[in-house]
Amino acid sequence: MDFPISGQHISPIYLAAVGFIVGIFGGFFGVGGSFLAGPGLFVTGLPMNFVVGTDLAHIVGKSLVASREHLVRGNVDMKLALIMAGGTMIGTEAGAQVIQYLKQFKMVNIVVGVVFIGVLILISAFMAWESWATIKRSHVAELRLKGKTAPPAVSRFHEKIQRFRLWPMIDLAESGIKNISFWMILIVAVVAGFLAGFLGGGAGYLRMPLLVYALGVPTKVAVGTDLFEVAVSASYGTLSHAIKGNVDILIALVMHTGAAVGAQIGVKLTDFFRGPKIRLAFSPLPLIGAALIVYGLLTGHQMK
Amino acid sequence: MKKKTAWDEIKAFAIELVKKKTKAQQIDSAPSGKQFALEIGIYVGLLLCYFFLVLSFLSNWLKNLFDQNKLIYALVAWALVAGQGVVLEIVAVALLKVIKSKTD
Repeated sequence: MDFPISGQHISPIYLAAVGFIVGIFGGFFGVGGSFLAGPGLFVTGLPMNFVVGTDLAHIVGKSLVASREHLVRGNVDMKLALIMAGGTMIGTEAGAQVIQYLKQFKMVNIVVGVVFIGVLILISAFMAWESWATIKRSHVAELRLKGKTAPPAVSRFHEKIQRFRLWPMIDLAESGIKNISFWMILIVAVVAGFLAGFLGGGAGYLRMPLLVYALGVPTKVAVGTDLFEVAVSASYGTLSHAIKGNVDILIALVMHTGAAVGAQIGVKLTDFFRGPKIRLAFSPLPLIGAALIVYGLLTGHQMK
Repeated sequence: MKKKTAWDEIKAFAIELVKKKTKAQQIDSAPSGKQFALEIGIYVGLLLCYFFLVLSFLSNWLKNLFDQNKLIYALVAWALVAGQGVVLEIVAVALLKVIKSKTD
């Protein structure tokens, strides 16, 4: 099928299938799924600036639907989500501006591709190590007797972050956080927002781990709150990138047709799995995306 | 007692869509496997209709808009993809309610 806006010829079945798989992961893991959607678009020969913008656009609808699902389940910390929204938009715009800058030098494909690969490998390794360590710890007899799950293996890190006292201090009752600096929340939001604007998608692959490990938000609330932020960054990023000519909305609509259905199924699956297991299942997924980008860069699809 | 208007019904439906539910309410309102499959079926049908309508009627217009006015294109693009997700989900839930009330 021809997509006149980007001038590409791509199978709509392939796009809908990528969307469906990404939708399941998105609804289930609380991330936008750009670690697969972006590379999945890149291997079709779509230029990287269109990959970033179109990826952001396709997740708008499903992230809004999925965040509503999590909202009624009580998995969204609204106070945290609204504080983060401002930082998410600042970061997303900064990322989109960097793409514009790289476009001038025709370096978007190689720079974004290499950064994407590095980020995906790091996230995968970290998530695997942490969730495995947490599951091992949760088998400790005392915890089993009490029926509790062990805290994340890097729990000391979020304690350090929460001890950082820079006014204003915020109380996040929904997340069970008594006192945390507003600036720490803002930094997390800006960093994740930047990657959303720079690499596409909602950057949930970074925001979700940061919410859990850096801020100490419980996994289920992190999933719901992250999806809310994905909706914010995707909406803002879509507008910003579309103005810059980086969005093929017809490709986004085909992908979203599959993704919207996948997201509904993904959210249902969260009822059956607990925190560390969700994180362990998540860990190898970014590597699939990294492999697709390596393939795209090596085979020269980016030259189309 | 004041009679419920259509607007009241719509308002109650909209509140129901975003209202936080307790664990017990979630279990109570959780659809059965059959209901969930029906909901997904309706949703898929609506999504496909929507996409083919956009493709048939708006494809050329969107291309022209992309070439001539990026700001309007950006707003239309956002509205199209948000509409495909949110509006169609609301329509699917409403249709399911109608089907359920007819079969009960």
